[in-house]
Amino acid sequence: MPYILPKTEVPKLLDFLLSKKFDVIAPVETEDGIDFESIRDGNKVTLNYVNTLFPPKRFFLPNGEVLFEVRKRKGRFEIIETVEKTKRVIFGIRPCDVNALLVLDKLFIDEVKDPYYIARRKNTLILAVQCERAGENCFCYAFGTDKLNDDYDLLFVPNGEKYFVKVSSKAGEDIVKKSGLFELTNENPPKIKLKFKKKFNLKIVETNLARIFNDTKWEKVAKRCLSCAGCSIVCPTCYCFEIEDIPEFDWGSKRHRYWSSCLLQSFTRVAGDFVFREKRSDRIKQFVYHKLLYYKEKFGVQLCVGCGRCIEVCPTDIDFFKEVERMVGVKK
Amino acid sequence: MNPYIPKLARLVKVKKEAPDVKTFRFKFVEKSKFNFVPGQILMVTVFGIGEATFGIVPTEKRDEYEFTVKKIGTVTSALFKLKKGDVIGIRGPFGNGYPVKELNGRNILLVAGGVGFPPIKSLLLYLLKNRKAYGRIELYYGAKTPEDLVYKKELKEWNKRKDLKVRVTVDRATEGWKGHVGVVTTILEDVEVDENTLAFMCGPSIMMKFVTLKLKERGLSEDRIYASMERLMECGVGACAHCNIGNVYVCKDGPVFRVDKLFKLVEKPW
Repeated sequence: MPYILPKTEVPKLLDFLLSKKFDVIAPVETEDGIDFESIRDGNKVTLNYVNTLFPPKRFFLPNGEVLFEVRKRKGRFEIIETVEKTKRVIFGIRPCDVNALLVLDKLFIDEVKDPYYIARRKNTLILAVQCERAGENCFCYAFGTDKLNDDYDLLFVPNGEKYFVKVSSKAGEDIVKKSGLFELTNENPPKIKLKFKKKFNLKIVETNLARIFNDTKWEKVAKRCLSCAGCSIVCPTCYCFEIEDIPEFDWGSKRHRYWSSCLLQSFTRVAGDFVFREKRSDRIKQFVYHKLLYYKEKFGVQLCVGCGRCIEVCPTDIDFFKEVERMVGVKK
Repeated sequence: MNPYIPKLARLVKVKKEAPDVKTFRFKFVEKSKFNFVPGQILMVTVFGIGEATFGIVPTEKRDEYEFTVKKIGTVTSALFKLKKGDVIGIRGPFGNGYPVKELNGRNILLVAGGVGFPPIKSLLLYLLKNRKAYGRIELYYGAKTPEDLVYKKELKEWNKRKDLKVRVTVDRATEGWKGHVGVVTTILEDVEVDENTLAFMCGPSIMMKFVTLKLKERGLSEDRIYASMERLMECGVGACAHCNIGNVYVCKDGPVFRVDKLFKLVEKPW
């Protein structure tokens, strides 16, 4: 049976979690807009947002994270693994962004067994909040990523001034029981029907993608693109990375992992300055095909959850999904 | 097992091959399992500088391995400053390697260009270990100039063998060069192929493109030509996504691909 929590009690819930020594990540108002931050005061949370500026990706794959340290002592090298194991909870994460994590799990947990990602996923409780309205560029419904099965610890379904709260894990149950803020209810959570402005016909696009690879219209899109990689940065599933060694002044070095983007020319540059995807259109195609075709062929799901952030952030208003629909001939 | 953490290895020998090419021989600091198939790759770390990808070459010693490097970027320049006794990091082996189990009784053409030689050398050494198991073996190797040829000593020895045909060419001759001059396809003009022939090539994209065309012209279909592909690699384990061609990763699904399969990918390989 679900529980009920008045919306006004959310700060108290977060304070409770802080008192239990969790690192609490929640949406807050920032200079640039609503975004996730690690907070120290439950009152900083905001509930008034469609989605955050940036996805919560950086809490699972932090840009520049240290993979290991190499210490040099008396001519001997020692490698020290630096897996982060902080106990955390993220509140306010939307279903699309939770689904983005599930998409990344397939690569980083099932395939690569990436110890850094695995530790962060395992040590972070997911307190997801269902959307009340869809944004301008939201099209999660096209991927089915507007829904969650039981891939959360707690799911908050809004209904007026309160949340219906569904529990899906022992850790979630503990929060409900021990905080003393939740009330059991025998009512059913409301069914929220979101109205989406943006349309996307995934089925038609998917079946025609291979055919349009050499379409000359890609060049037209490329003319408008600045290769700024903003779309990759705000994408909840763009995970490509680079590995860099940074020397430390007197004791050795650290190996870091940084975000990368296939839209940058340097992405395929090898020693000797040969670039495999020199043309901007080739790099745009890499972005779109990785998202809509290659990842699905490998892992059974698209590398996109329809959050629309890439459309929102593009300085030249490119909507890759609209462009692709146009090329395959989806009628509007 | 953390796939990102290298094992420490010590350089036991550094050999100059050509003006900007050296071969490094290493041994793991702590005894460790390192079974590889010819054609597989490894990631070499110069601590504090970074990591780069190279082909693995076996040596006469079971616990010593080699890789050959052209000084061309940051990591390779740093490697060139290292000497015998210095410590490096090794990750791997990565990738698929050559289909060595399918080579029995075959006639084998090996085509190498420039510093794309190491995987081909690795395969050749494997074949020579059990020479009787195979039909004709022919090695075609091209470099820019006579100076740029790598594995000169080995080439001389292979040249003496009756059971191995070796053809070498250079793009530009220098004084004293008595051998063939021309790009590698010019020594493939009269290559003989039959239904039992397989070809393996490694070199720059442009070379592999024209070698494929030449071999096809000689009657070898793309399903009997294998290419060792080069791409930027950061992780070696199919995660960083720098080395994909269409839906395959060169580091994991490759680096060895049958050419006909490469051309079935959405993205063109060269």
